Amino acid sequence: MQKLRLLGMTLGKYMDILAGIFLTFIILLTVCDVILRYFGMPILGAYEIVSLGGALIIGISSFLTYWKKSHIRVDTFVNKYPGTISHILYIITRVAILFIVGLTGWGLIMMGVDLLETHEVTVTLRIIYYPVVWALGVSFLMIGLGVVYHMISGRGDR
Amino acid sequence: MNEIAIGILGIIILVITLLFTGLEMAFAFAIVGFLGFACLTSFASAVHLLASAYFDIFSSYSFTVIPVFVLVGQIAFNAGVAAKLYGSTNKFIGHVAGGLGIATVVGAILFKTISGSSPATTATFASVAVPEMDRYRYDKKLSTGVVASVGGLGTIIPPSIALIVLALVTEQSVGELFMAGLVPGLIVALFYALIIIGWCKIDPLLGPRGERYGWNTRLRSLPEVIWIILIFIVMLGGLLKGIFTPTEAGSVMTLVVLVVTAIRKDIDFKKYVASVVQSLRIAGMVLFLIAGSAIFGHFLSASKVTLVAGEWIVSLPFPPFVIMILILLTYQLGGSFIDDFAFMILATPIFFPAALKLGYDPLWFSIIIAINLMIGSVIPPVAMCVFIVGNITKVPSNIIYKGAAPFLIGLIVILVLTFIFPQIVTFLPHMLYK
Repeated sequence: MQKLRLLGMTLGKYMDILAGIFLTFIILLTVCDVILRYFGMPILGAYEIVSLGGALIIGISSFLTYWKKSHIRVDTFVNKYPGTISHILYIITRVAILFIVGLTGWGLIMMGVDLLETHEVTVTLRIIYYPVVWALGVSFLMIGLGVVYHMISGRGDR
Repeated sequence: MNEIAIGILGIIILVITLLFTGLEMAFAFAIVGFLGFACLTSFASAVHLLASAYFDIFSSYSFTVIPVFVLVGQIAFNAGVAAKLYGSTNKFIGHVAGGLGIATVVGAILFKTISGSSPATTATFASVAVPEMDRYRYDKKLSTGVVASVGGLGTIIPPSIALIVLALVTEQSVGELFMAGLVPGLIVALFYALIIIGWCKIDPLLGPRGERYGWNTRLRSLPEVIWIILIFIVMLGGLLKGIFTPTEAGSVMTLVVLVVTAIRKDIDFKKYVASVVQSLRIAGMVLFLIAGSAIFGHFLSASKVTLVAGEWIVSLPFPPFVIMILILLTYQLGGSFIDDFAFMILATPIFFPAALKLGYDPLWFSIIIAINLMIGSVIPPVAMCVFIVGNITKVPSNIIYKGAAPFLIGLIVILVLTFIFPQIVTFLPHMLYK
């Protein structure tokens, strides 16, 4: 279990590094675009790159956002439940999350397949963007792995 | 069961899920929204809704403004900008009775001009200003009360994350909403300062005089303030003149703040990485909440509940201002049980169209909601700013609540004033944008 936890944290850390690089990149790209636009030489398709970068930033970092319990939840009543009820409720809610992130991940991968088959590209730079949709889909499936780990390790705060 | 009944049932299930199961709100919105939409349409359409809602929101250029503005706030936070701002304002007004409290208000406003996060401001000033006020034997009531209250200023003073989210949810201009929040925010701050002065006049032991500094020392501390004000003016001016989009304004701010703090050796690579990681967590939390709320919103629209609710609200046999008060009370009640910020994201798509139908200005409505959020951050049961101050200073909540109470009156006064004179909110954006 300790190894799984370490694996999850390491994986999350590397995903965060990647997301951080994307965040820094889109900021630098945007500033360059603003400066160059002032001199009449805007970066073509900067908005498209920033938009797709934004999706990757949130998608890639979503695993650790879930893992580190950064999402808002109301625990006023939950903290007062007896241990067994609290545990059962915890398992039920994790299954519910697993259900929704699993479906979303699958839906995104299917959406990517559609985009691949129809050769969908962005308007300005004509970037093939189904890989971004797939990356987002995989990110949701990764959240699912985090949920499973929390379920079996009982690391959820009840 | 007809569509509207399914919609109402969905709302009831959502509230029960949020309150009694401990399920993360972002996922609760998405799950109930998905199931409801699947009931009304089909399973395949609902799966398609899930995928498209998450992709559309995460890859929307407009929404990239959130991680960018969160990052600039985190950089300022980790670079210790707030402590320097507080130090500078303290040198100017710390020597008057309650002066350290006023310095906290002014320092917080200046810090807010580059940080859109209320919790970050509260946490920073709780660890910077409260010990300083302790040193001069300020009453804990005043020191913790003022810090808990100034944290909320970030909700309406640009670049507020709450205003950005409100602008995106209601499809308004981020720049206009920033301008709309500026004057009420400064009036609230003025009220806070007057409350401190008045309170210390009544009971001088609450806020004894601090050290008096010479003009030489004061002027030497000014650069700490000036560069922050310059960045703020460039950001707002750029938005106003249409030179920047909000994302561009946030990016320019981030880079400038990073470069300046790096040159001054206030931030290093390690702190920058920490800032990025913290902003990824906050931005992820906010965007998942927005995406979940969008899925739930699609379900409500499909069930026609939003339409019927809007028509019902408008047809209530009360004057519009009474309906508006009821709407604000609903926000306050909902925010007390769920979370002010999350409830704002959930409820605004329902109440915003109703407010427009009642004839209210969209900017005015948004700022009223933001002031309502500020009130929610210092009143029980979920007083986020009070909890943060209590956690850092180890002062019992009841003392902080007592200290925040006079400032709460200030907030209610500004709420009433904006009701009577909506121009407080609208005149600046209308003058500058039209």
